[in-house]
Amino acid sequence: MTDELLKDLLRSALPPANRQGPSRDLWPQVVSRIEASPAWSRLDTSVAVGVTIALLVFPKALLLMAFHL
Amino acid sequence: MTDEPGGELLMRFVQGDLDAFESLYREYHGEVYQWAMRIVRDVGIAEDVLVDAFWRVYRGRAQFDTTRSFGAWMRRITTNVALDHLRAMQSRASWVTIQDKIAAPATVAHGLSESVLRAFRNLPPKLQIVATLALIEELPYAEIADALHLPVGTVKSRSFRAIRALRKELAQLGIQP
Repeated sequence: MTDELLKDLLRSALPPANRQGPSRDLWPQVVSRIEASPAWSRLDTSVAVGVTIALLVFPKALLLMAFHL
Repeated sequence: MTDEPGGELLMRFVQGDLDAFESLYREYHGEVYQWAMRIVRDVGIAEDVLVDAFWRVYRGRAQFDTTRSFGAWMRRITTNVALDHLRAMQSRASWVTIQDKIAAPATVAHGLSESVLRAFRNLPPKLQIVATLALIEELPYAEIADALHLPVGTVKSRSFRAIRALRKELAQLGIQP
């Protein structure tokens, strides 16, 4: 099988890529995506609060945490 | 390729001005979509790539150097996002293949195109992307290297490895080179 034949086979097997643009306006999705990505999620905040409280109550746990990091 | 946007527009974008970003989106979304389509070959996934790519561009705006080409930067990010989607497609496909084997152990005869497509989709994504752009789209190695942020030599060697791997995959599927 020559490289050309291999290319022809690939071109006929793969769907064409000739669409000019998306089927709808995707700008609103881009904006929603931007707005939905805060630097800190609620989960991040609750984990941070939990870890801080745990370290205040059990300071020796810092060594255990350092070991795992 | 779209003309490069003005420096003032780019400065506003870097500062987080959403109107400036929308102007850039309107100018580049067609090009980004077509590039994504060339790589992923699926209308729905190309739309996901477009949204992801613009989101990453906005998120990484502080790193953009306004003296450089916005189009080239956008294309690199789109390429990386498309590559991530190819990886996700491959892991989903391997899961489906496992499910198919469990549900229908009998071998089903497949056509040549299907076998070629399967062989192609079995390539590692980093070879798949080079094979698509070099073999199917026949883009110059330098353009592919720029989009993938790789040296031209690496692109050439990946193209060669992709051909070799495809021949091997096809041979395993009973299509003798």
